[in-house]
Amino acid sequence: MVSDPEPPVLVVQGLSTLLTMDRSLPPVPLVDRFDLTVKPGERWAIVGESGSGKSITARSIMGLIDPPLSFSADRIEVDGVDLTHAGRDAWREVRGTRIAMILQDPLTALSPVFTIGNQLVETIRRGAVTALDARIRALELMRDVGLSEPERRMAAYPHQLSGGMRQRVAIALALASRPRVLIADEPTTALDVTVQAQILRLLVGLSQDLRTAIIMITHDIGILPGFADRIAVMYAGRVMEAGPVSDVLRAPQHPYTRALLRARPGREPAAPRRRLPIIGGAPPDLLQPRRGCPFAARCTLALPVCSDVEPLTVAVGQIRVACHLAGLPSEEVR
Amino acid sequence: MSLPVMLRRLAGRAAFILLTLWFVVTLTFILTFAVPTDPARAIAGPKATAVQLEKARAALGLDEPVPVQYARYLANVLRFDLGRSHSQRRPVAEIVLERLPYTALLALSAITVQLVLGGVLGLWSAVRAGGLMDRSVFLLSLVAVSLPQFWVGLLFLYLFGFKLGWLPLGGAALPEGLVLPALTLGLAGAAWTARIVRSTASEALASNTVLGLRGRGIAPRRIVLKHVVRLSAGPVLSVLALDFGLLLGGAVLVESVFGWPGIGKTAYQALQQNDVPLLMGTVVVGSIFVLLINALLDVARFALDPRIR
Amino acid sequence: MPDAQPSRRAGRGRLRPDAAIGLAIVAFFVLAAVAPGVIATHDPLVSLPNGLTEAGTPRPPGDAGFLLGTDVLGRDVFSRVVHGAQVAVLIAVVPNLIALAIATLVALAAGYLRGAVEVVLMRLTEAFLVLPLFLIAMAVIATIGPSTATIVLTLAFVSWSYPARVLHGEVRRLGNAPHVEAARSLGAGSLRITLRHILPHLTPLLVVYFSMNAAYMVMLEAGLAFLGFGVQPPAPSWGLMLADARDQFFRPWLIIVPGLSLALLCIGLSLLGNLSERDTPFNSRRVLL
Repeated sequence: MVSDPEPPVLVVQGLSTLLTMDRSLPPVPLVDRFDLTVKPGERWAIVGESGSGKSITARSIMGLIDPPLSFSADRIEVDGVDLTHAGRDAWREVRGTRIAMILQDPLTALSPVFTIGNQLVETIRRGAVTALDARIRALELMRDVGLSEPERRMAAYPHQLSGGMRQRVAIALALASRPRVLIADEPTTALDVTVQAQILRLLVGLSQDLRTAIIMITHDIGILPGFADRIAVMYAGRVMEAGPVSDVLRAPQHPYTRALLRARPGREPAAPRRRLPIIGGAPPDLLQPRRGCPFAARCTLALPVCSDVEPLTVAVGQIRVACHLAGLPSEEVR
Repeated sequence: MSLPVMLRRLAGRAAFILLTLWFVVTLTFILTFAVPTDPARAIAGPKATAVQLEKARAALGLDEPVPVQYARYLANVLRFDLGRSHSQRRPVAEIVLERLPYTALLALSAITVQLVLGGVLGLWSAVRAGGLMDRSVFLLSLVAVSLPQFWVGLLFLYLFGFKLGWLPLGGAALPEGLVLPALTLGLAGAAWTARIVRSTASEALASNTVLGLRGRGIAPRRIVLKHVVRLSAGPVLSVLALDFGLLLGGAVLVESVFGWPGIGKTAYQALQQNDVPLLMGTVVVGSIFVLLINALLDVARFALDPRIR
Repeated sequence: MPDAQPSRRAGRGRLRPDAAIGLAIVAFFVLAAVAPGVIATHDPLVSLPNGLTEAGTPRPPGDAGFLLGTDVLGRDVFSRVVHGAQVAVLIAVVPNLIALAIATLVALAAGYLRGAVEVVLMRLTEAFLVLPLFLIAMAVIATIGPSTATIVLTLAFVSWSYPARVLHGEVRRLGNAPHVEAARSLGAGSLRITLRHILPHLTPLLVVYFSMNAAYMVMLEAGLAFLGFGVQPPAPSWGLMLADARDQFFRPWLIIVPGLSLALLCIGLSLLGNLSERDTPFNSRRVLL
């Protein structure tokens, strides 16, 4: 069948997550009109500094938002299921089956008081599965994520495993019901560098073999090449720039993205003792009412208009960018 | 945890228990023999002649130097010879051991009330944090821990025994005689337990572990009844162990209010009859009981938490 | 995740309702203790001429102008309860201060001397936490004799361990705090650090434990008094009033009134002690499972 183009597995339009501190104060948007469309097998990276709202975005897409936060969207569709106005039961139905999540710290994400096997079987048995089938599937999952001696690991407690093994268990748990979308919130931050690479390779393999779409939340722009095909850069709850990784890394359109790329430790040996540039200033206080571009105060290229009028998102080639200067030749703005 | 580490921990625990017991026994020795009241006088009676008094002194070994007395006292306690009660004219150990099961039964019933009532209310409060139930339980528990137990006991007796006549006004009849003492003793504990469970369960609910479970779509009932309960069990057991001495203190009062024939009531009677050996016997046996229960709860805590196992 | 602390923001500078209630209750009892004559209507120690009915029984509340009735000796219960606040407040303050002094000393000594001393002190603290202290208190008072001094010292003796353990934890924590590290790097000795940089920071905890321990002291003393070991007659004490009334089921006010005073004072103290609690139903948020 030539039924192209493949329908997306995740559509998010106009997602906003609000923090309500006090009924007398206006709610504070921590995520502001977030858009994302993900196709099967795609690997996305959502990049931002801490406090940029990227983790909250991930939790919102999972429907895992507790008071004092609340979220709403113009449209949220996961694997064809419309969740825009879904209640908690409908969200729970989808979680783990169509969309799943891996947390940053695999040690705390697993229950310390139950064995790996217990937790795997529990998760698998959400569906109508017999105990025996669940056990077989658990062993299969453990092999899939590259855990050696699965039989023995079944009886182990999380604290008896290494960090990398724990993260593999967490991935196995997430994959238990073959979700179409996998959100990984800083899945490698708590791990050693060598283990990081292994876990990333595992995730890439899964997306290729199972056609699972992966959305990775990270602050480390350095791990993107070779992992993600698409990137969204977040700042102060807004997507500043989004597009194919190769395009964004080669020709970043937003001054913030450029600053972010400059601030990462270079791999090129050209200037060995070069001081790493930093981005001046601090992220804006989200509690203050906002006007204009959130990055304006720190932007070296800011024009008067930037702190008054919020830039619209425009397309520059494959990239979508929210900047008044977008589309100007980069030599000119640099 | 490896076997040698576990053995070392057990040995440390045993040493602590023995040292604590030694401390208690020494305290009772000091109180019995080094205070102004003359134990010989207490035994011989106020009308005793000088000769009778001297005889009583010799019988107690009071004419010997204090270190010798102390050594003999320790040796006697090791053989579980706690002296003779002069009000009941039989060995203290015999009396106290006879009464201990009553106190144990009362304590066990009170703990059951405490864990069931406190556990359910605490979990409920945590799951519906900030709700009406949570607020009511919070205020009620604040009041409940502030009520003197013996007074609550008196009120229960007045209401259910005297006014309504549903339950006996005291005594050791089973099971109806146990209801009010157990409720009285368990109530304050339940209030404490509810607060501890609420706070540990709230912590568990906000943990990454529960976030992970929610992310996998595990049913809320299962998250609470399996995972949150299990994550909260350890801290609750620790507090239970620590507060068991307090519970026993409450039992003394509650037993004397309800006439429940445990070691608390025995201590009260010993007090009224100035029977110092019997009173000290209840202190020693009460301490042993508390330390053993503590050790037991310690083991239970180990069994529940694979991280310290 | 944003570090949202709505309660702290909203609550600053405003008196919490529970604090206000607690404060009002405690203030009332302190007033009763300091100036009982202002509140009491009769002499608490005297059998009043019309204190008993013609049949010779106590008067129920409201009868013949006795607000809360009279007791078996024809004394005014209201006035006795008001005067009883004296014993209660004394017991709430004096042994409490002694216990906190011991606790602070133990915690600082353990934190300052470290090593074997710390181990011994902490094991001792643990022993005092675990043991059936009420029984021990009974034994101590029974053998030494139930004077006010004995009772005060015994109450201190049985209640220092819990604050000691908490304070010790705080001392250890403060030992690694930045300001202490800074003082250490500037060459301050450990005694100086202990006294100048750690002790003052224990104050908030001490305040909390003062009010929490106060309720415990009052209840403990009442319990001892109930067994006949309170501050001795004729000074009216709630515990002794309850001891006298223990079988007076035909005159329930004799049981209810003193017990209620006890309970009220303890509730007031608990409300104050509770202020440090960060997570209460009034500021916490629900996790939507």
